Amino acid sequence: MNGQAMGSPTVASTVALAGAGDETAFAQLVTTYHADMARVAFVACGDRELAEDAVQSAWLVAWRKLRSLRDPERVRPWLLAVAANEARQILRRRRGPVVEIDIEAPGDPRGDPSAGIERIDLRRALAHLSADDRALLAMRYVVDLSSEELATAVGTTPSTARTRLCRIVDRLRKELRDG
Amino acid sequence: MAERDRFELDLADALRAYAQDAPTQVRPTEIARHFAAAYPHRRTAIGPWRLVAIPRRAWLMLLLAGLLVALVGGALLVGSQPERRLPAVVPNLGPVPTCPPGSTPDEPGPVDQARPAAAALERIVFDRRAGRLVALTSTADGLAPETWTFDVCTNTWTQMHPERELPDFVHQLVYDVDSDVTIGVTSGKAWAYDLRANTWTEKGVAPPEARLGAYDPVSGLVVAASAYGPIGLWTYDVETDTWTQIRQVNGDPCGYLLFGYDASVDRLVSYREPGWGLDEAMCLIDRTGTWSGTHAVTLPGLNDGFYATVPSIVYDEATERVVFSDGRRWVAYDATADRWEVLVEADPGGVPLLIAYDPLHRRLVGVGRPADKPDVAFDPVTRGWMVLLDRDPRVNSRPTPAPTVRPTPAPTEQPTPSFTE
Repeated sequence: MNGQAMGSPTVASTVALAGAGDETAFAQLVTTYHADMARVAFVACGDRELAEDAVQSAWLVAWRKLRSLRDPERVRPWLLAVAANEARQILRRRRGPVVEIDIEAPGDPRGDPSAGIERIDLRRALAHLSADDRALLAMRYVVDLSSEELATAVGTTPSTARTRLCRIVDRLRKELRDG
Repeated sequence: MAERDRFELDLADALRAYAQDAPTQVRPTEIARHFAAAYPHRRTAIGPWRLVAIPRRAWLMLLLAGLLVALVGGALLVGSQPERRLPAVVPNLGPVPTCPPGSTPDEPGPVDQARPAAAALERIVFDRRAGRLVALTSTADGLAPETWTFDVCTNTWTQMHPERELPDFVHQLVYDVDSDVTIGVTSGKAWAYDLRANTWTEKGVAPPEARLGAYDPVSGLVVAASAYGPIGLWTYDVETDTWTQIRQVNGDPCGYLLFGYDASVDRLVSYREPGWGLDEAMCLIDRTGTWSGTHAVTLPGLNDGFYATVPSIVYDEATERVVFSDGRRWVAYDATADRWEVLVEADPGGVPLLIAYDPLHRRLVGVGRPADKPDVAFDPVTRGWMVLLDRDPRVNSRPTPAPTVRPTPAPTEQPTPSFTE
């Protein structure tokens, strides 16, 4: 994924500059991390437009609060968490507490037969999860956050993050494998 | 992270393919320029601001109005919970050791002692025969838990360094009074920790879904449960390493996040957080697998939100209730009356996430996150707090706001519990 392209010294200085209001540095962060944030928000929302809104809101949060980030090295999980949080907020505001993912995907025949999990089945299973759980899945399996980064993103310890992820995967395993 | 199995690899592939539809196109320069123009960063500090002068009488009126709203709200909340009477039967929960002469359980332990990082503490359980808490921590990479104990007579931590540690985290620790071992299920197997011998023993294969557990003092067995639906229930006999499925008489009880034993009604308690497309729920389950719901109860809403953590549950023998902690509040559930009550809450900052019941001193012990909080004891009868071990001065922390202890509600008529020896 492209979110890991910046070297550590570059990340720290870029975050510091962006936090101080430097447009070029901020644009560099957007270039580096936007795609991953969009993917996480999309899996959390299940809707392109909502995901787009969520990531835009997330960047505004980042613009305002980047300077409060204690550890610039952790900017990636932090940004992903902000995107996930904005996705959750948008879902709550627009659709109420019950989240429905559009299970049918007309005109979208894609499905990777080699993957072993059909797209339609995945979407149906995701629809049964909360936005938080979908975001956690995306952070782990789509943008490949490590245990430690995952813990940073959800504000807990690596072990607790794994516990939670394990429960989600267990549930999906049951649903997708056993029908 | 542990190595992914076939299903996880397939899941990752499927999720990545699905996420290809994400709106990844962006114009970074335009976004940065727009934010810079619309939301310019302040170059100078904001000037001091002051409260609008409000007459003293207005403050008083506001205070009175607030009190009135709180009183009415509280009365409505408590009054709206219908009472349900279950027979109170308290089985023998096991031995209660005593502290050696000269112990100082009510004095804080030495602050400079070696201790597990509060943020790394994951699971605790009380070993009734040793009179110590058994605790598991996680390391930074989430692997290789470490075993610690906390002596409630001296308020000191000890890292146990058993020859072999658990290979991975566990969802719940259970102390088996009958066999005098602490049991956890991980990596598809049961593991038993003998504190006296300081050894973790690998047992046989566990049902793959079995993750949670509680000790049943009547049968002397551990009852295990799956952590997602449809729900499975098993008994586990650590002596013979035997798992037996419990046939559920009236269908699957509510799903689990937490699993415990409530001695006041001799039932297992399972709690499901809101989510998974399901509502929050709590069930009481008897030994035949028959469950009853608690739909009339206003549930505490544990573990709600993206930043929440996995909460903990413990049976409080002093007030005969189960107590939950989600790091924000401690909430007690009285199964004999089908009522819950917020015991303690602290915002911001939270309260200790991990709780255990200390039968020696008939109080709850709270440890673990938040990292800037001390290890504490809470007397559920007097509602008094006590610091058992002050926070580690080496941890850079903010001042600890005092938790708010809810006042004891007016006593309600309750059946007298009958104790069996």
